[in-house]
Amino acid sequence: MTNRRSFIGALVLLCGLAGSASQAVAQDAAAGNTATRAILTVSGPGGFTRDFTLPDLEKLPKAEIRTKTPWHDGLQHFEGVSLQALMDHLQLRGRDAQVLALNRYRTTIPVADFAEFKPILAYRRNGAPMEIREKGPLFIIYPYDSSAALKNETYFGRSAWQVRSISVE
Amino acid sequence: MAKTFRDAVARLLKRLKLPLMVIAILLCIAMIAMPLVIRALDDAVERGLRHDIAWTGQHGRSELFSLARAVAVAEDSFSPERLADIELNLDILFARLNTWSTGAFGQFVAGDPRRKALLATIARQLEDIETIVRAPDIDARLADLHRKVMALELPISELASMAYAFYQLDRANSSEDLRFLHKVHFAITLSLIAISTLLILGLSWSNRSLVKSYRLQRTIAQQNAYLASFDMLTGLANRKFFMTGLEAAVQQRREGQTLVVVAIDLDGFKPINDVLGHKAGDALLAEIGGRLTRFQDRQAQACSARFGGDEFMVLLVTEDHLPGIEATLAELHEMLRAPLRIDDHFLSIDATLGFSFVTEDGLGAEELVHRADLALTTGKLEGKSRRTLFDEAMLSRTLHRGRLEIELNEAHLETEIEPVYQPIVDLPSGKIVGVEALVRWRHPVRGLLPASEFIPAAESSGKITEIGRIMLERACRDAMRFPLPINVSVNLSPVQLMRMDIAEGVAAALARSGLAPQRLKLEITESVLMRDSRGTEALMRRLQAMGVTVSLDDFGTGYSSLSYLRNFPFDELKIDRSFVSEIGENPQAAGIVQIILLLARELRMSVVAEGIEQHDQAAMLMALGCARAQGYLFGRPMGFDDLCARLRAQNPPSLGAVA
Repeated sequence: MTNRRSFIGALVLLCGLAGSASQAVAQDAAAGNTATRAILTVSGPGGFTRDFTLPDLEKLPKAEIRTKTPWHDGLQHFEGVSLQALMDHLQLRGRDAQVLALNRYRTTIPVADFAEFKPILAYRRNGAPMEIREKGPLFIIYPYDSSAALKNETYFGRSAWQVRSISVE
Repeated sequence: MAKTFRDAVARLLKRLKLPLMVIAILLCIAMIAMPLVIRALDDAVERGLRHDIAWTGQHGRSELFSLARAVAVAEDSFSPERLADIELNLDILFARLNTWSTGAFGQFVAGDPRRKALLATIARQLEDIETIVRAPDIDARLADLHRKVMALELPISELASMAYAFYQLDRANSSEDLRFLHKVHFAITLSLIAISTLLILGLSWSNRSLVKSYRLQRTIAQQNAYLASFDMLTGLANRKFFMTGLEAAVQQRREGQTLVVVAIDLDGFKPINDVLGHKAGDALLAEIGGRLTRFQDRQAQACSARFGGDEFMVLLVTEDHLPGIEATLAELHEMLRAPLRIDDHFLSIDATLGFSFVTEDGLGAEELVHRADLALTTGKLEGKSRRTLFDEAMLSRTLHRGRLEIELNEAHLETEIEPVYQPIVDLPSGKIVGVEALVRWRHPVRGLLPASEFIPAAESSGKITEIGRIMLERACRDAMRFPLPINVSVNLSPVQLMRMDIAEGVAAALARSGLAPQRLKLEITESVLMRDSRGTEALMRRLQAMGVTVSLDDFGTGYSSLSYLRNFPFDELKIDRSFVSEIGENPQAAGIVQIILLLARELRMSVVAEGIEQHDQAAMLMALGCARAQGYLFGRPMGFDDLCARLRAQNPPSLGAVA
């Protein structure tokens, strides 16, 4: 509840500012070239920043999750990169990961989740890349069916879709 | 006894049936309800944590405003970048529409036709918006686009509100369910605890009452077993229990062990019972029971029992040899004969013991008891107050008696039974004044048998009555043929006296022989008087009315109560031989004889002293004033012919009779 309220506050703030980041994103989206366009920006302590195209992500070790979700009908097959693997790849350390989505949704994931529940940054659903209209191109997915502990609003809330950037603090 | 226990259990179960059934039903309900409740609780908890569809509804609104803002920015100053921004926000809104059609929100929408209609409207309007965005003249239609985007706010807000309301209701319901389920859970848990407590209490109660009824039935069983095995009066074992124990002892006898069976008969119990009453008799038996118990407790292994009446049986298991056994029995005898006090009477009691023993296998329990009994009987015949060990001769004696009984049954008593006569003399003169008829059996094979040889057999075979009748008739007939008209005394046995036709028998004998009644004397013993005093007195008066004389035999032995002399109209007393034999050396005996003589004189009874064997006894009796005497000194029992010869020699017929 508190999280959500503070989030709504942040949203109102964002709406008022109409930040330039969204404009940059819009330009990228308009460019239409998914192979060369950066779809993810990861930043870390000390001004670390790194952009990823879809092929960049696909080069990283692939992880899969088969699970049902509250947003889809039936069992879904997700492919992507393990968030822990991404962290390891970039040799990033931190306590929290701030996730920002195209729809300006913002959520905070404790980095400890990555090792404990092994969520992935999915780029494929049922074998196909995800359009923005299908909550793509990147969707943070937890293996909800693997544990009852994951089937609640805490983890559904951390499951951001249309992920654009991750900032580790 | 097992039945009582079963009954108690059945009663208990019957009483507990209803509560037990109720408890069982409650437990069944709890067993079924508990998992259901727990599952429902889980469901409710999960529902509370379920995906928040209200949130996705609200988020749709903010995405719509983002699109509206992108359109407004483009309206202000159109550029390809701003169009791209519109397209991105449109994509995001389509993604939202997509989200609303599937998953949890899709289910919410499908649950109500109004929601479906609303979602269809939103989809149609979004498609309209997309048509405009894709149009080549988009820059000219931005105002129209703005209006259309703003028109979306109403349906999206409505749907979001519906989702919010649904979600809130769902949460409220689920928390209410949760509260209710918690209550149910609590109630079930509480009732389970209550049931367990009840069951524990019930169990301990039923345990207690079962234990109680078990104890009761055990007590009853013990009492029954006691009643079946013990004699209530003396507290000793009864015959049945003793025989069972003896059989076991015979079977389990070890090498070197001797089983001694002692048969005990109280001497003088009967008079005590008769004179002092049954209460005193019972008290005496109880005292003897106590003495036997004390004796038994002092032995390593012993058991005593009351076989009935005043008969007791003791079993000793010992490793002693005969001298040791005899010492133990002497000790037992001493215990039994100790004087005792019952009410205000000091009583002396004695006992006769007969015993048998077995040191090797071969004799059964019945045989041991039989042998002890035989030894006891023998001891009693030999004078009581003694301890007699069984010997094989007793068996042959018993066999002898059995044979005698058979022979008596087959004998021609009329000719074989015959009297012999012992003289009764006048003391100063020594002349025969009467005779006592004594019975003999002229056995065809064994010759003339004395009374002691065959009277027990005659008594046990019932022939004694017939023998008594024959003796009476023969004595009367013989007396008629005596050369002198002397008196003849005939003994009446207790068995004869028990028959009420004895007076008729006497009358018949007198009539048939023609003997004057005054010449017939009937001798009876004290024991007859104690049995049926009123009947005996009436009988005596009838006999005396006929003219017959009645004398009291063996006076001075037994109780010799003076009341007999007062109550019964005796004509004559016969002083027992035991006083006569001591009269010379024992002043007391002489004193007693003198008193009896004085007493008889006062009561107008004549006196006969029995058992005179020596001259000085005769002289002494004469000095004391005794007029009549009987004994070997004056003549042994003799046949009719010898007697007649004696009588003829004593008093020639010409000189007349001596009265």
